[in-house]
Amino acid sequence: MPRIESAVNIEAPTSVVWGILADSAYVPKLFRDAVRVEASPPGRSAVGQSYDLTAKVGRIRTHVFLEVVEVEPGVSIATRQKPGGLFRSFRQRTVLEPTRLGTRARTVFEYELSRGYLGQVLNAIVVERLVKDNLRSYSYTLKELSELLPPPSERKTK
Amino acid sequence: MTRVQVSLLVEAGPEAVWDVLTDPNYIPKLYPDLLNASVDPPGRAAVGQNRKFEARAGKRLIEIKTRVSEMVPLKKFAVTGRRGSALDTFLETVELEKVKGGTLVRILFEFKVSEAYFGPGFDLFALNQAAKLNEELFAKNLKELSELQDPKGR
Repeated sequence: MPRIESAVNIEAPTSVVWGILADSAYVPKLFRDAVRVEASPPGRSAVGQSYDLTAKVGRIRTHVFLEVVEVEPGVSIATRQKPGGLFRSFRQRTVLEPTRLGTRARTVFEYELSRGYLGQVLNAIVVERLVKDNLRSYSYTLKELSELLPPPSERKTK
Repeated sequence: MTRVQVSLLVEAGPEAVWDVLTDPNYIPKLYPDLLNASVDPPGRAAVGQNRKFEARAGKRLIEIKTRVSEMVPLKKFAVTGRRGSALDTFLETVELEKVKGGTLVRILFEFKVSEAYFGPGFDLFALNQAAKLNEELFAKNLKELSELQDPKGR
């Protein structure tokens, strides 16, 4: 089963990184080819929450169904695959650790593509490459979003 | 006030374009610099629905607030700005027309970056250009998302 592991040092407090990780609305920004996500129930991440994630592979719309299985606020979050969609299995776990300069975020993805789903319409090699590209860029995008400066309105009130 | 007008042919029916336009879950993907969206009341767009976004202007977070102002199903969708955000004025009108080969989409944006929101030290020209680029890319992304096909339909 392919495994992709990455770690980044983020120059932002753990609370800011967590704010992004635990908000499903950020998912289409964190994964390059994700185009839409619907969380059920809506709101901040909680164990048992489901994500219906729509992604594009070229001009084809694919689906990924996930469930939040672990939430330790400010520390860790994990999701895993629900039946159906692009993956036969999928698991993501991100762990945050405060550092002197901010936060260290470690993310591990383990996944297996659904050959049955792919076999109908999609080139497995192309999809494998796209998935790897999306997962590899995840941590860097998390860093970029977390390091954005606060809005001018907050600056003025300080 | 900056004005951007774009017309394009989407190779999909008005239903597909309308589905993308009225589903708030697509918003972060339609505008490159919008990071997330929260809507009140939740769910699909409806006239009067308030929308609040976090966006990026360079390396800074900014807030944008809008309201759905007009909906004519499969024909017209309009959104206007609300006070207290990075844009003093904002109007977005998207008109759809079914044509041979798909949907003709006409988009009009009018906006003005808020000097009061940003205060001194910000380059308003650069902010204006960034907003304009987002609006132009909105058209490209609307086309791309509307033209996505389901695997079974292929």
